[in-house]
Amino acid sequence: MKSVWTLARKELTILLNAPATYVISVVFMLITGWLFVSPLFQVNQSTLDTFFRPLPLIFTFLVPALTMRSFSEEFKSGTIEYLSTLPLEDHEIVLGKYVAAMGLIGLLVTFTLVYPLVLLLVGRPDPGQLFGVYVSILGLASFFTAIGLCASAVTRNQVVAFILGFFICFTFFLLSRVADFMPGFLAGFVRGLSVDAHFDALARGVLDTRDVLYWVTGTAFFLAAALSVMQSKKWR
Amino acid sequence: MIEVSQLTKTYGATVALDHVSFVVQPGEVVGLLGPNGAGKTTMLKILTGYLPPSDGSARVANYDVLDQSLELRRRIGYLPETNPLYEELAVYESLTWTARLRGMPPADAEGAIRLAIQVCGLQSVIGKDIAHLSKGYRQRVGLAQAILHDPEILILDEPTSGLDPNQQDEVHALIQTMRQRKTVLLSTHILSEASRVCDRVLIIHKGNIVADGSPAGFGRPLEDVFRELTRS
Repeated sequence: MKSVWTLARKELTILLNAPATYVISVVFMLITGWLFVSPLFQVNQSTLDTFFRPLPLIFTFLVPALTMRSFSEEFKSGTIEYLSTLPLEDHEIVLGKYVAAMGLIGLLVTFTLVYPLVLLLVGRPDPGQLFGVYVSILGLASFFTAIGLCASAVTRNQVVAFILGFFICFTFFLLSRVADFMPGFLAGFVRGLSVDAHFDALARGVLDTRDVLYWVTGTAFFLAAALSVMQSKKWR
Repeated sequence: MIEVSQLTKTYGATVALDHVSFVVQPGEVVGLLGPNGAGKTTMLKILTGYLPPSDGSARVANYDVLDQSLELRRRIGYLPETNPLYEELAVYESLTWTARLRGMPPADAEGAIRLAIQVCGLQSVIGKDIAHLSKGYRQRVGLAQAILHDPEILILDEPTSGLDPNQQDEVHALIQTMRQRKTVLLSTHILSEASRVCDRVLIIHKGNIVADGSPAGFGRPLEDVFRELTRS
């Protein structure tokens, strides 16, 4: 486990040395800031809804943009050979990259805590709902990070990794809309796979183990897929 | 010690290594010679645990490359052919992260980094980003990373590639200083380098070892032996 943290810190150092990280972060803060502030001043309404409801869509762009280089750059520059000949297990490499990406997204999400703090000053938000919102955000971030890492392991081209990651995340985002056009028995199943259903339930402050299980199993599935893809590419 | 037995590696229908066997004794400096595509890099990648063999076995420092890969990797220092480095990191940062990822205690790491910097002549560039280094300095950083944890076995894939003659001399001197304490397996296609540095050379051609002996023991210039055995 120590190796995972060490690798995560190294990955985070590299992410924080990249100018693109700051550009993406600033764009994220500008968009979420505008989403939060506009109803507050325009319609005098103190709510977090306008900030967190569009987050699944925003994260379909943000998370693949932050994870696109994680494996693709290692394969392109050949540093995967350096990394793989250090005394590290392959799963530690995947987990290290996952923890680093989650650390960066966690940092960005921490900055957004200013929005509920403002709400506490001007209104009476429900603490249970606030907690649910942030658990939802972390669950969504974790799931999309695993997808982004898997997409990055598939190709050595960062742009392709971004597009692939975005496509998979966007598919999970669209599923609940597609489900509306499906027959009843299938609609329930497809809706259960969509990120929206689980994100909204938790964000309402309803802590259901099924939603937590969805984020955990989704993350585990795509991290396992990233590991398999990395090993198959490395050993080819 | 490195023991290779009937090692075979295939990529689809292409046979990169064909039942290769050899032993490198502790303290030996052995050169792996061969034309491009002969199988040298594949051999080194298998010995470092990066690639699995298709058949046969190999043991490095008494650890099997497949079953005990993690233990093996703790005991080797490896400089890959392309010398991949994290360009976003400064030289000191890069060495620090290598030490940490190798699990070196901080107290030992500090001294080891200082020694590697001194041995590889990196004093003047320790604060520079790797992206801004010349090829020679990048090669030195790769070497510093390989020797940082004082490994018992060094595996170097074309260690002097891209270096000027003075820098090549420095790398040769570095290998000479390590020969008392370490086993060194290096690949090269610079024959004068092999004659000068290696106790023994293995000439590999089309995935087979076609010659094994000391550079002086062939009784004629190594260049002639190499040309004759690797023609066609």
